[in-house]
Amino acid sequence: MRIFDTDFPNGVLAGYFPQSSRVIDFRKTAEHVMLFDTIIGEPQYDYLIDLDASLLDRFFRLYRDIAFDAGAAEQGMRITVYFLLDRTLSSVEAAAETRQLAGKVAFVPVRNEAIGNILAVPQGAKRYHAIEKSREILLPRLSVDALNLIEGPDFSFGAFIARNGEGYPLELKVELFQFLETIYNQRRSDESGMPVAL
Amino acid sequence: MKPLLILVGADKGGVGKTTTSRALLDFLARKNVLARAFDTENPRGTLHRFYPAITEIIDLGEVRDQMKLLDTMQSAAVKVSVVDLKAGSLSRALDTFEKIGVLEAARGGEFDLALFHVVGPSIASLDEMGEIAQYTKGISYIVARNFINETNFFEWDEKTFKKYFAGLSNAREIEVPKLNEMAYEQVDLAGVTFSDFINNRQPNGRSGDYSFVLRGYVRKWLSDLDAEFDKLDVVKALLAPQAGASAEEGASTEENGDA
Repeated sequence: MRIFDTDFPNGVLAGYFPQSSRVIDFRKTAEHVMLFDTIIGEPQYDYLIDLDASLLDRFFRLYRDIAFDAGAAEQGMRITVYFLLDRTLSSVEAAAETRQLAGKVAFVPVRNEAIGNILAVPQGAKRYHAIEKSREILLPRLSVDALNLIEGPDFSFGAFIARNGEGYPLELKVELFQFLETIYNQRRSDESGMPVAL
Repeated sequence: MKPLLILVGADKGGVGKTTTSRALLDFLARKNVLARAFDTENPRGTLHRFYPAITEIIDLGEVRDQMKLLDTMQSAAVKVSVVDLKAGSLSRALDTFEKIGVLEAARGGEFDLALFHVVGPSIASLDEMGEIAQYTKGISYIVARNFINETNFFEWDEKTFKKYFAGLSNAREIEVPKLNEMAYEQVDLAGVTFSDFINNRQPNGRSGDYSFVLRGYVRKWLSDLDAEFDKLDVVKALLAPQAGASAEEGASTEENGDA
C-alpha cells in the first residue's frame, strides 16, 4: 500500500508509515499532478490518500475536472471514498457534496461514536440518509486509555495484531480487539483488494 | 456557404490572442468545419507551429499578402479563414481593412466578418474597445475576456466595470477561462493542438506520454471554452448552414446594428 498524506508539512499519518508514505503539498500543481499521474501510471499498487479536511473541495473538484474516476477505471482500478463525519450538519453537507463530486465510486461514510452522533439531529439524519452510499462504517467509542495508546507515535495496529496484543494490559487488549473486530465485520467482502482508497 | 473571415486580435500583447485562435481552430476542427489560418506573426508564427498544415504566415502590411487572404475568400474551397493578428496590429489591420473596403464589403453582406477582440484585465487593454469602436459597426464583434491570470475585470469597481462593459450592448462577450500554467506549458512544449494533447497524440500521430492530470486540465478548459463559443450566433450560424435565413438573422444580433 502506498500512502499519500496531504497533511503538509506535518504528515501525521506518514509518521506512522514512513516507509510507504509521501507527504505532499496538494496546493502545488506539480505535487497534485505527481499524485494523480503516479496512481494512473502505476496501477499495480494499492493507494491510500489521506485528505486534509481543508482540501476536500479542492481535491474533489480537480478529481472531477480531470475525470480521475474514469481514468482509474480504464486502468482497472476501483476507488472507495471513506468520508469521516463529525457531529455537525456542515459535515453531512460536505459528505453530500463530496458524494456528488466523487462520481460512480464506492462511497462509505464513517461515523465515529466518540465524537457524537449526527443521526440524533433530525435534520442531520434526514440529510445523511439521503446520501447515496455503498455502506457505512461505525467506529466504536474507545476508552481514554485505549485512545492514548493508539495515538502514541510508536503504536501500530499491524504489530498489535501480529503479536496478538502481547505486552498490553488485558483490558486494553480486549477492547482493541473488539474495536478492530467491529470495524472488520463492517467491511464488505467485495471491497477486499481495492486499489485506491481516499 | 458565404465565406467567413474571423479576425482574432488585440493591440496589447500577452493577452492570449494565439491561444484563443488555437482554441477556435480546435473547436472548428472538432465540429468538422474546415478552416484555413493566417498567422501575421511574421516571420515566425506561433500559430503556424501548432497548425502547420493549414496555416500560412503573412504580413498584412504587404499588398500581396492582403490579396492572398482577401481575394481568395470566395474562390477557396475552405470558406472559413481565421486570422491571428500579431500584438499591436489590431487597430492598424482594421484601419487598412476600412481603407481598402473590406469592412464595407462585409457590412454589405459579401462575406461574414467576425472580430474576436481578446482583452486582458488591464486598463490599456480595455481602452482598446473604445479605440476600435469606429471599425466594429456592422460586423460581429466579440469581446473575449481572457482570465489568463485568474484575475477579474474590475468587477470590484462598479464604476470602472460599467465604463468598459456596460456600453457593450451591441457586442457579444465570451470568457476565456484560465488554463493551469503547467498544463499550458506542457501543450506548448509538446507543440500539438489542444485536442491532440488531450488524446495523448504526438505531432507525428504516435501515442504520446503526456500527463493524465494535465490532459484533464486541458480537456476541462477546452470544454468550458467550447461552451463559450457555442453561445455565439456567428458560430451557431456556421454550424447550422442549412438553417439559412434563420442563421443569418441570428448572426445579426451580434452585429453593431447602426451600420
